[in-house]
Amino acid sequence: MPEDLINNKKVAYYTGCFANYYYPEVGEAMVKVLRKNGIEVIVPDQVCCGLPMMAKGNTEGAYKNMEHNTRVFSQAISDGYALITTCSSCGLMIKRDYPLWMVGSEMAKQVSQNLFHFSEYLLLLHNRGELDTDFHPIPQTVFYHTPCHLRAQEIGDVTVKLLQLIPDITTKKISTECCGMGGAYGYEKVNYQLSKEIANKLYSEIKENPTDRVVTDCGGCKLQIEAGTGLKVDHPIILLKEAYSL
Amino acid sequence: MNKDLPIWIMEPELTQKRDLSARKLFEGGQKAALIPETPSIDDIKQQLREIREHARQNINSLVEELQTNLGHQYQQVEVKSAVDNIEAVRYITEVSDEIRIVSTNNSSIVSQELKPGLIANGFTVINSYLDEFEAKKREILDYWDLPGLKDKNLRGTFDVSIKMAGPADTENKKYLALLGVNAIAAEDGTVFFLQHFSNIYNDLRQANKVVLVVGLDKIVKSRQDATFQTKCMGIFGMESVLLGIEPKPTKTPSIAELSLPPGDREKELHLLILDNSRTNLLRGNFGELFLCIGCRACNQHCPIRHSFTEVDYIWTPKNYLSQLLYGTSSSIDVCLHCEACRLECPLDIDLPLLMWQAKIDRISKHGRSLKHKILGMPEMLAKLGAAFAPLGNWMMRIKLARIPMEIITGIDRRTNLPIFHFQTFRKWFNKKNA
Repeated sequence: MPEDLINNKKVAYYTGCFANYYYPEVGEAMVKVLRKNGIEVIVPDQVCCGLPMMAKGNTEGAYKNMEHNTRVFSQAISDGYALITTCSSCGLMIKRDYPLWMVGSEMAKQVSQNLFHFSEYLLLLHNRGELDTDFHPIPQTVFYHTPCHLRAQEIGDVTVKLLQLIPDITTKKISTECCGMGGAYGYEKVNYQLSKEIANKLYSEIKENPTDRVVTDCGGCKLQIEAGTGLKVDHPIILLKEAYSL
Repeated sequence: MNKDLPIWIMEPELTQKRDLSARKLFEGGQKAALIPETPSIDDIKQQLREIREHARQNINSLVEELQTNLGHQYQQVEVKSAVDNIEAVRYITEVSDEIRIVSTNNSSIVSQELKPGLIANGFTVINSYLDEFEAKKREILDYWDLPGLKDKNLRGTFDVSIKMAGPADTENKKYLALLGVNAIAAEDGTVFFLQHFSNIYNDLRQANKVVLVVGLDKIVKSRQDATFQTKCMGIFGMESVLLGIEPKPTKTPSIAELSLPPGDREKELHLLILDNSRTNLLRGNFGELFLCIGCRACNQHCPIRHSFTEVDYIWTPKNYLSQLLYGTSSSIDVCLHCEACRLECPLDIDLPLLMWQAKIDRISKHGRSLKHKILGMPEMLAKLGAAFAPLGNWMMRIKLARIPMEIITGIDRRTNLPIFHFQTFRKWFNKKNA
């Protein structure tokens, strides 16, 4: 059983590269939402989770990063912090792959077991009656895209459940079609065409189900959807921040 | 003792499930309690895992037992062991005499491992399954439109419907049927096929020569185990059929369309036991692949499956990996690592992890391209981008600047790149908390 750190109301936030370098609004919103709920937040010294490095064969670099993150976040756990992330790919890498690659590492196991996707964590708080649900209504329809790497965490529709706590919000469509981006996969010239072909099904779904907002937890999916549809795509924590009027 | 080799064909069968429901409905009360509960999908997976683990751990003794039983009991069957596909193709060529038409089923062992060699040796290879598949109306277009069969108990929906004693004598056409078997029982040699249409039965009835190909991973202990394993192929692979996942081969006429002359010799039955790197798999890091039953469930939600139109077998992530391991492909960068295959596999084979492993092995032998060396340092690129954010973002919008970038890094010039921020989140956080 994972150590129960939820009660402590202390969170160490693993931002991942996307929220740090490309989409800082997500990190800022996450901190504000946590503080709104009376949770202490720290952002420990961290590096890329290693997934995109592994994907391009930089195994040595990936291992170094895994070791660094494991050491830092293991310390945070020892200090009583639960770990959260807003990135579904980093989440999958740390939860699933760290213990597989760092065979025999108890720290890797500990970090893996105590990392939560942000919505998973907030729902756990809600289930204990500890989430502030004093949300302002958002009378809007939402198309929600489940990133493959969130689906692969096998934790259910945690983000959808969280969004549904906001009054008047309507999740019109939940899609689990792959967006074809796969981190830097879709960036590469050799994969560009294939990546877009994969995305076409998702683009069609979005066009067939027009909504006020398109939402996904993954930065790569966001870029791909925005490129193919011309629509603005939000991270779900942005909606939560709006619902709190922060 | 000389008997005919038992060949059992399993097909989708609704009768059993319907009968069970009817009994439950009409018998009710005390009697209903006597009707055994059908096992859950988890129970099925557990039982399948045990069968496959046994096969993996005892492959040498199972092969020996099978060979002994085939030799003693079914002397009309010519049994041959082949180390690799080259030896197998040589044997098929030898036994074919002047026959040049080969009909195969949809098994990947024949279509993927043997077909290229046969074509190179001048054979015309036909897969009649495709002809029947084309004729079926398929209305389910996407994974998400499936009726969720995996979560329902379908054990009763596949059953042995045809029991043959060797190939039937009724017809004799001059062609060779090369059929990859789905399971074989070491204890008595019973051969199992799963058939959705009628192509396998037709080949067994009509072909002058039949060569049954047994991959080492298809040998299990008992007839009971072979029945169960074949049934599982049906259960877990059914959704692939509903989705219309089919090979995309060069079109050839089907056996029914060819006016083949009658075979001028007596019917022959051969059984070829093929290793072709399977024992190597067991020795290395890829032993989990030996557990695969070939149900193709891993294909159902694979985002890249639609794109493999150039191959003439049913493309699956597992076949993609095994081709690389068998040395017949050099591609390992096409997988997106979405991990959907892992979620679908009834044996919980960790295909994504094995893909990583294969990638690492390949890089240790062949190194990495400069492009991948650059893209393999994503955070350094992000830091550079953030440090020169306004300039970098401006440059990324200039098409001319994207061309050299495409040449050096491999990032397509049309890609929608993210916007760099001079003030990163962590800078913001540290400032706020200083």
